[in-house]
Amino acid sequence: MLAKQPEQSNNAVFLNIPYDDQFRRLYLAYITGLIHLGLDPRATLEIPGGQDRLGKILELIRSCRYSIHDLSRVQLDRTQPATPRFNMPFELGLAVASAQIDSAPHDWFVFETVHRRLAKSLSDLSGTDANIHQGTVSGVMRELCNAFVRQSPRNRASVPEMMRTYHAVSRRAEEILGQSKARSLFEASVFRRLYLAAGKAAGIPESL
Amino acid sequence: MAHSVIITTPMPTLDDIRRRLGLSEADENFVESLFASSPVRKPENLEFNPVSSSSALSGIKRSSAIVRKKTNRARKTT
Repeated sequence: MLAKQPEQSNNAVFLNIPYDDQFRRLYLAYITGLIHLGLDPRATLEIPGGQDRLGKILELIRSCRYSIHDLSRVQLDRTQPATPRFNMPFELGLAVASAQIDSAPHDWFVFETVHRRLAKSLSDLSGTDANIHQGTVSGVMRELCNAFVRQSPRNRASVPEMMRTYHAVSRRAEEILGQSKARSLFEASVFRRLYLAAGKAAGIPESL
Repeated sequence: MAHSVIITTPMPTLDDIRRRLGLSEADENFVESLFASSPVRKPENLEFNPVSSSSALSGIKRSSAIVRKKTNRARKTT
């Protein structure tokens, strides 16, 4: 039986991306880009370890109005035994099911690096157009702007503005990492600080 | 073409972000200090530098002249 629908946040975007150093630039791009657009990035790295991790991931997805699934990591990882990463397509499956079954609306987006590769890697999604970012930070910003359009033209952001926010946060990322005594940027404490730093860099006002 | 959604929710404030993240005072002070030493330059504060484009252009002209000179010298020696 499906658990009760959790309260949904209309600004929240579930971010389904690989957590590894090769993806670091794009990870920062997604966080800073979404915050610049006035959205609320949510990620599984916020979920503490322990029991029923899968249930908590599903609850997080269902509590988000939107989700982004970056399926660009199709290569085998270098650590033995060499394996592909199945987390991203698996969580995409959870989001698609949530969009189909739940009463609350859920829009999901697939981001990719290479045109038409999705048709080969996940043919069940044939007919779905992916947002192609070409593996670049500016590509991620452009595709975020294409996917999420603010109704009020006053609040629409441009890619150069978003790039400025990205560079402001990226320059400070090492300091945030060092000060947080964390091993990588993909830890909850670092994520929180990056989030606030991106808010400040994007020029979000203190209060209304 | 991939689909788009129209966002109608209001833009958040930093107070909204603080509430959502449940930040500690240490987090807050640390991030504040990051921006105190080198504040972010806002687009309206960016200065237009009229020298940069022309000097870049003259740089291109100069480098193509060097290439021409080297090619001519190579032709003479062969």
